[in-house]
Amino acid sequence: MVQGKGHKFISYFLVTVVAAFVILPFVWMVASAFKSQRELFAYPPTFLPTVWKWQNFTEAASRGSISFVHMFLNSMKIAIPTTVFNIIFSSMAGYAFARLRFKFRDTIFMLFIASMMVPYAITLIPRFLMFRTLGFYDTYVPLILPAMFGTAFSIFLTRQFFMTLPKELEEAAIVDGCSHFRIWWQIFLPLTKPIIATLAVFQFQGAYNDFLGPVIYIASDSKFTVQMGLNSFRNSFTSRYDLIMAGSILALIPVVILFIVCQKYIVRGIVMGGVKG
Amino acid sequence: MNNTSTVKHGLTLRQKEAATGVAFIALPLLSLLVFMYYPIIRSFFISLYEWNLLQKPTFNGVNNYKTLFADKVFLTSLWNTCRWVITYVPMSVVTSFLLALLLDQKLKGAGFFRTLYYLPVVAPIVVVALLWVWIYNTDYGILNFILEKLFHIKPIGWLTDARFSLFAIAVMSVWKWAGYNMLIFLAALQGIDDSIYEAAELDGVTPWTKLFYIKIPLVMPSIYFVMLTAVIDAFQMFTEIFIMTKGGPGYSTYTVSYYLWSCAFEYSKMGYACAMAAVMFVIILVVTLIQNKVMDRRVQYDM
Amino acid sequence: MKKNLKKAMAFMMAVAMTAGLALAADVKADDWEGAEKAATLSGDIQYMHSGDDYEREMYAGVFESYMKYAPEVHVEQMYVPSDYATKLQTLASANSLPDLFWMGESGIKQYYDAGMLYDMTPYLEEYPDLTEDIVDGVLEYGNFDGKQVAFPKDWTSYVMYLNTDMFAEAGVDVPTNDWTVDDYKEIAAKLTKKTEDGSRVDVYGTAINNYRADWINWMGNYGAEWFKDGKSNFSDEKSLQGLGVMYDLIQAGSAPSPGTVSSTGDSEDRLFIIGKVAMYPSGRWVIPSFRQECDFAWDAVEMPMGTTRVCPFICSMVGIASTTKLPDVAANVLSYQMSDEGLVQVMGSALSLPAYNDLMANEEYVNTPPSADAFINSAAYLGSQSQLEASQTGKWSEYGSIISANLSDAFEGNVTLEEACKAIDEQANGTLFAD
Repeated sequence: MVQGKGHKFISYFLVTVVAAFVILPFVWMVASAFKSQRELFAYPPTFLPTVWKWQNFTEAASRGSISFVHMFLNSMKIAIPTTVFNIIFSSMAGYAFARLRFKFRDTIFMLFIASMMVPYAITLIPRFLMFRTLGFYDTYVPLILPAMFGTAFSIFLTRQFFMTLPKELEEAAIVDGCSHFRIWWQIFLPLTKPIIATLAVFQFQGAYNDFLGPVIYIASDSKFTVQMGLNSFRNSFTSRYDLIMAGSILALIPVVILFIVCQKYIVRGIVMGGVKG
Repeated sequence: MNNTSTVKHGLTLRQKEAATGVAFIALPLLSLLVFMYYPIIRSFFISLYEWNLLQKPTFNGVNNYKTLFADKVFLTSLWNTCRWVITYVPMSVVTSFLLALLLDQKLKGAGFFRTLYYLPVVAPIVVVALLWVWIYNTDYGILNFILEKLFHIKPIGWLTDARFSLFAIAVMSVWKWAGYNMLIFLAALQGIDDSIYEAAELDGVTPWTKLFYIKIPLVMPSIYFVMLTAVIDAFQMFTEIFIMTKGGPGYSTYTVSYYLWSCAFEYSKMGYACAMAAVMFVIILVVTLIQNKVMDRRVQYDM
Repeated sequence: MKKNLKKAMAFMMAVAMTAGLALAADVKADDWEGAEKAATLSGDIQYMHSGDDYEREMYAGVFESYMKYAPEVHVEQMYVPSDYATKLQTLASANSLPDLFWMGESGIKQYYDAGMLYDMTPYLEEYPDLTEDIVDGVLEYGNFDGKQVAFPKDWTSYVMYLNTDMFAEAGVDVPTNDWTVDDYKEIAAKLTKKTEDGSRVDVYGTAINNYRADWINWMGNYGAEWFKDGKSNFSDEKSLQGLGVMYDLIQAGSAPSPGTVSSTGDSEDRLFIIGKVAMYPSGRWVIPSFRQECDFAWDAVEMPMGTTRVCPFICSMVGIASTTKLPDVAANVLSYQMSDEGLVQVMGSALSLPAYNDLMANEEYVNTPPSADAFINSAAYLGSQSQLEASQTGKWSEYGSIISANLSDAFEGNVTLEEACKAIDEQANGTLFAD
């Protein structure tokens, strides 16, 4: 675009306007979270609460048969094992696809890539039937198992990364009679910290933000995740928008912190996954 | 499985390598077959039965498919998915691309704005949907209040008027996902070699020519990628609908995924829902193939 | 706030329980008939139910007091807060139904057809109190081919809640139980208030829900046979007339469109609580939150009279799984739950109404506010043939969403009511109720 003082000014103006559009809904959420029910439904609406109702947060955190902390821990029970195992298995598979030669390697890799195009809804019912038959209904198994042994996206990402590493890295080690497992574990894995961080953030977010999965597989209230808990503020007995907004903020805090801490890894992940894929 | 000592000493290096390779991918591959490919095939077989889960399935031939193509709700859902693609995809691509162009300049604080624009992407969809339901509320929502004060527009039923409901959800989705697509475009723009620009500047091209003859063509693969993803996502859309409209008003926001979920888990018509999944699968397959054909450069996976 | 509510509830429950127990001590006939048998029973039994948190706590109390009679029995409470019908279906399909469980009044058929429900007819003889003096028309919903396979644990009625402060302020007389639909429309218009600048409605005269209780109620009040001979019959003149009441109120601006309101949650009770709606039709289940949260005077009257009156039957029925190993224990638990002593622990909260005529007249079970008359009177016209038949098709969930989707189109002004009703019949009769 044209470079010049005036143009720069317009650009700054535009980025600020866009920033306002992005931020305003969040601001409205925070303002609403502190209002009383009566003020929420007032017309004309007040922008800032006349009385800041901090109780909304304590009530949102403790309402219902299980507390927010309990729901958060439930979400962690799903997110943490999914993330950890997914990274280990994906990275091993990524190494194999990037560095090892074996029959049908590229065909199998294409199977993984193609699976990324399949919408979740297509496998939803048979998967559900499978887990139901195995007696895993109302457990976390169906939410953990399918992603645990590596997913196409993670395998693709680690493979792309391993392919950028020079061959010399492992050649000496092979000559020394080093096993591939050791090469992967001792040489490759330490080099892939940034990509592991990227995957960790993505997997974690995916598991934490998932809604359809828990809706289908979880029945008992004691097993509710954060997202389900938030939605259950909306049943006929508790359609409390003040609490929904306060609860939303509580649900948002963990992912926002994670994002701010790991943002450079997120950017890298999208760039690698998006542009080349 | 990762214990190479079990590999017999008689094996050559090459054989060892192959064995390790197979061992390394064994579990992920098994998982892929069990949780992805087997369900796709099983789904097709279930689609030939009538099955409410409580009783034994009865063979039904292609009747589910016949009913499906006469089912007003299914056809509306498909049509809604098309409407979604037509409204959401252009809005999303244009917005994200403009944002990327904006941030591709050497602005101070570009990193900060990039982070800010990405914030909606990390927010859980449940949170975003609940928030926008509140913003869109006809009587008490802030949006109608602002429109009324600034432009004297009468309150609009964003989520309750069949003319606006899908569009309103599309606007929310643009807000939620623009930051993600922006990053993809930004990476593509920054990947353009400076020498191309330099050559162009020597020829004295205008910024517009630069945009239309250099930037857009070179970013085209990313645009295709974003579009393809958006089309696939259009079929997946569930949580937004479940929380914001439950498909209403009327059937104006029923998506294929939402109807499939209703049939399977609310009406327990498993065979019927699987027939829907099979149709969806074929459509996605066709869309993917067409999109691959349209792109002159085939998707490269650096084989 | 919640703590206060809990305290209030605990207090109410305590009062109700002492009263109930005192009653039981005074009058020999009120002793629970299953007590003797309970002492001889043993085993673990699962009881699954839905509802909200108060209900969960109340039933925990019921099971605890049951276990005092049956020290060898352990009742395990399974509480499912949302998507209950779907979850129950899934458990059933996995062949792991709990021994006792709730089902919506219209969701029984599919389990009956699959042979999953225990025939409790013999137990009705063993425990005669179960059916003695029971409200007319409630047992039928759980009766298939002459077998009782589900038991109505309570009912909820459907009445009009009134913000009486608003009536006083507007100088409008509070309606009495004999009011008509015309009165209703007129009052609704009178009580609707615009904001100061006149740009929009500040307080609505009434609200309507796009919900089965409302449809059944309004169509019923005009004697409509909206489900007839196994077919949907919404295009019938009388059905249209009944639904027209809802439609007209929105058109007249006396009620917000249900979509506007339901997007703030699944029900309109919030608008009543915060004083944005003067008259609100709903079931008894709103009373605990109204008592706790309304800072104005309020009461309830019967739904306005059309050409007649019909009260929708909204209930969770209790079923016993045919796979249960302990049917005797399950029936004994049910008998305790339905005994005066069991019911008083649940009815104190005013979430629902007892299904027995004698208890309906008892302050302990149908307590105030609001006035009990509206609830007591409605027992006389509870349920309708159309509702019973439609419920027993086993296809209600899909039928219900066809109705709700098409009516929402009409209520939001996208199509006319006639068009919507025609679409409902075509869609439902073309696929669901074909052949």
